[in-house]
Amino acid sequence: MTMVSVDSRRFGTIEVDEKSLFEFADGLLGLEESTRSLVLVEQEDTPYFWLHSTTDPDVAFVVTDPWLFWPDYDIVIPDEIEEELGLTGPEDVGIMVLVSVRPAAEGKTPSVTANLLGPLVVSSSTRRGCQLVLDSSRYSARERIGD
Amino acid sequence: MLVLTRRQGQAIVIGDNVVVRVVELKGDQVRLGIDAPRSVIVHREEIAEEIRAENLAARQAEAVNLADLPLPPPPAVKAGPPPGGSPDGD
Repeated sequence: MTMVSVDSRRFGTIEVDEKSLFEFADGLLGLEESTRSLVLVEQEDTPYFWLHSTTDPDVAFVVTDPWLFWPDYDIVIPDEIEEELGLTGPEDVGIMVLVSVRPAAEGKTPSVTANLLGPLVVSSSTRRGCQLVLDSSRYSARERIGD
Repeated sequence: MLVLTRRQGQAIVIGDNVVVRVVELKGDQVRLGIDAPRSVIVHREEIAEEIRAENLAARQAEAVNLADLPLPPPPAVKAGPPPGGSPDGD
């Protein structure tokens, strides 16, 4: 097992298995440079994870499994993405969505939304991933979580 | 910006291997057919923009404690009030 060091403003320096990294060849829209290599940092007892850049200590995202909150969430992975990521079958596919937390006005709960329009798709075998841009008006980039 | 006039069925060619064809005109809408290699990413501009903006908003949410975020509703039950409620006052 080869461990690599990831510097994080949030967690300090963490050691992660090199094999656990995800490679996003195109990065995420708007943050292309800092999001080509990402690692999932789990936290117990919550349905959320941190998805952390391995190259920029300041870049981390809260992510979650969309089906926990929207059981009817329905997306199609285009063939070319399937090929690009080397997806071998349904059990190889991991889907997560980015969660935005906007600070609340005083006395109110913060606004928590998930980006269902641009889900992240990863292959657990090839470790390659990308962000889909859904061609759909059914989903919002700011779908509210909890109310 | 290069501006070209095309009729229904006509196309423009970009570089060696991208063809954009006007498939149909209907009212104020234009349907375009795009032939491009797989390596060329094609998006509707406003959707890609929306996702870009949201990616930036989602980066490093300040001082977020994951344990404080809303939990999913229990399966097959409509979402109720958040567990525990929110104690008022100080």
